[in-house]
Amino acid sequence: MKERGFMPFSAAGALVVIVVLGMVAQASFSRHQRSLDTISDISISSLQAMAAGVCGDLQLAVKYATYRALWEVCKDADLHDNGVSAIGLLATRYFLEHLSGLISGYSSRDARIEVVVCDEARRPLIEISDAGNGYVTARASLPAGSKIRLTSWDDKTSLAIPFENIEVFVDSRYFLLEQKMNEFVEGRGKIIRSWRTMEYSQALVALFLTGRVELVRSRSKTSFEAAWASHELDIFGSSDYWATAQGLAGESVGAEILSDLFDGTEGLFGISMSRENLYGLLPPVPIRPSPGISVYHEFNIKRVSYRREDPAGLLGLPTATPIPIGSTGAAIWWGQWEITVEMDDVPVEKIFDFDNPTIPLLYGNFYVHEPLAYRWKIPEKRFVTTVTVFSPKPFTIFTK
Amino acid sequence: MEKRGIGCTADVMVFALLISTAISILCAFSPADPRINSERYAESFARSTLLSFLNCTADQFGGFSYRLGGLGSGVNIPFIGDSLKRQLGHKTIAQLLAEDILLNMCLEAREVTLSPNREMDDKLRVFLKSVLDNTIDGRFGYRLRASAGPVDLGFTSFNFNLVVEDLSCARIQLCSETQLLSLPVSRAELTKITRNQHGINLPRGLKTELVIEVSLELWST
Repeated sequence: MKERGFMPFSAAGALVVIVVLGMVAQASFSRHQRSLDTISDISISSLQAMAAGVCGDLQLAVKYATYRALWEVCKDADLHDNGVSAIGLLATRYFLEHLSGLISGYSSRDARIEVVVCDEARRPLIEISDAGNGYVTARASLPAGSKIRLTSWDDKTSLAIPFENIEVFVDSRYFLLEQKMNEFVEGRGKIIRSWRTMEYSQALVALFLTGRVELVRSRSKTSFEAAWASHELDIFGSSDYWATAQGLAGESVGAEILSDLFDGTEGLFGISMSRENLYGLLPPVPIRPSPGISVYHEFNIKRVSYRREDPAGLLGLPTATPIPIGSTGAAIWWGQWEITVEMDDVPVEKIFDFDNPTIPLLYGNFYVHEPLAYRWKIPEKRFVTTVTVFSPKPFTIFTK
Repeated sequence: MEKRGIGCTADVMVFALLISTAISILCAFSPADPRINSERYAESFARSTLLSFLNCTADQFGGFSYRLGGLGSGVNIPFIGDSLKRQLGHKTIAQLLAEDILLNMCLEAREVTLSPNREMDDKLRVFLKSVLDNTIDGRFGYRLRASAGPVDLGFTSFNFNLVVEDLSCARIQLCSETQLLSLPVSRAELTKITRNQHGINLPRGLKTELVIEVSLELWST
C-alpha cells in the first residue's frame, strides 16, 4: 500500500517559518508605527510642557509688574485720585518692559518658541480687582490673536496656544489697606473728639481734687498722641506703639530699642535706615491679630497753645467767668479754652500688610520680602479743640 | 524501502530544524522592551510631576515660611520675633524658586557669608524635599535641580544651584525633564545688585537675561 502524507514535513516546516516571519514582520511594523506615534506624542507633550513654562513666565511677569506697581503707587497713595487705575497703568508699563525682554529672550534661547503679540499698537492693559479679603487679582488683556507658537525641531509638530487673557492672584491686600486708610482719614474727626474727652476729663478731675485747672502743654501733647493711637487701634486693630511708648516713657526707652535694631540692620544691609524703613523690614506685630495690619505714624508736635475763650480769660484774668443765677447772688463758674496742636509738617500715616510680607524688594545690598505699605499724608498741620467747664464753685485756670 | 526511510528521517530533521528556527525567531522578537516601557512611564510621570509641582502653591503642600536671618540676633527684644517671619503660602513653587534665587544670588568665587535670606534657602530645600518625598512616594529615586546662570561677567560669573535629591536606593537614571523659567528681574536691578553687593559695574552690552533651569531626574530603585 502506498501511503503518502498531505505534504512533506520539510514543506510544512518551511511554511511555519514563513508564517512566523510574516507575523514578526507585521509586529515589527506595528511597533515601528507605535514608536512613531510615541515620538509624536512625546514631541507634542514636550511642546505642551514648554507652553506651560512660557505661560508660567507670563503669569509671573504680570504678578511682578503688579507687585512693583502696587509698591510705587502705595508709597504715595495720597497723590493718586484713583489708585486702582494708577496701579493698572503702571503695571502695564512694567509688564510691557518685561514682555519685550521675554520675547527676545525666547527667540535667542530656543528657536522653537515664538511669542506673538498681535497688533502691537494696541497695548495690553492690566486691570486689578478685589480677589476677596482685600487681595488683588491682576488681569492682563492682550490684543486678540496673541499666542504662543511652538514648533518641534523637525518642524513636524507645531502648537499655537492663544493667550489673550492672563489672570493672576497677587498676595498683597491692597484693597484692605486702601479701605482701612480711607476709614482712618475720613473718620479722623474722632481723634479730636477723643482728645477733647481726655482734656475735659483731666480738667474735671483737677477741678474736683484741687479746685483749679492747670493747662500743661506736655500733657495735652500726650493726650493728643493717645487719641491718635486710639483711633489707629479702632480702625487698624493696632497702633504705632513704639512711637507711642517713646512718647509716653521718654526718648530713652524707644531710642535704645530702635538704636539696637538700627545697628543690626545697618550692619547687615549696608545702608543707614530710618524708623520708617525699619518698619518695612520689621513690621511691628499688630496688637489685634485681625485684620493683621502694622502701623507707623510720623508727626512732630511743634507747639501746643491755649487760648482762653470765656470773658474773664479774654480779659487776661486767671479766674473762671462767673455767671449769676437770677437774683440769689449764686453763680455758676464758666471756664472755656481752645487748645491748638501744631505740627512741624503734615502728619504721615502708614500701614503695612503684616500678614503678607511677600513683595521681593531690593534693600541695600539684598532682596528682602517686605509687606505692602500704604502711606498717606494727612492734609492738616493744625488740630484744634475747645474745652468748656462749668462749676458751682469758683476756680482758676493756669497755663504751665 | 530503506531509501524511503532515510528520506523520511531527513524530512523530519529538516522539519525540526525549521520549527526550531521559527521558535528562535519568535523568542528573539519580544513585542515590548520592559525597560523602554518603564522609561516612558517615568518620563510621563516626571513631566506631569514637574508641571503640577511648579504651579501648585505652597499652601497646597502645607505652607511655607521662614525667618529673616541675621537681624535681632544680638538684640534682646522679644516682641520683634514675629516681625522676622515671612509667610509665603500663596506663592507657587516656581515663584518660590525664582525668589530664592533672587534673594540668595551671589557671585561665584566670592563667598557671601552674610545674607539675611540664608534661612529661606535652607527652609526651601527642606520643604521641596518633603513635597517630592510625598509626591513620588518611593516609586523612583529623584534629583531636583534648579540652577540659574552662569551669567558670564568676564572675570567671574553669577551662579545659583539648588539640588534636592533622594538617591539612596537609586540604580539607573530613567529620565530627566526640564522646565525653563525666566527670572523676574530687570537689567537695571541686576546692575544695582552687582554694584551694591560687589562693587562691580556690569559691562555695557552684556547679555544678562537670567533663566532658571528646573530639572527633575527620576531613577529606578
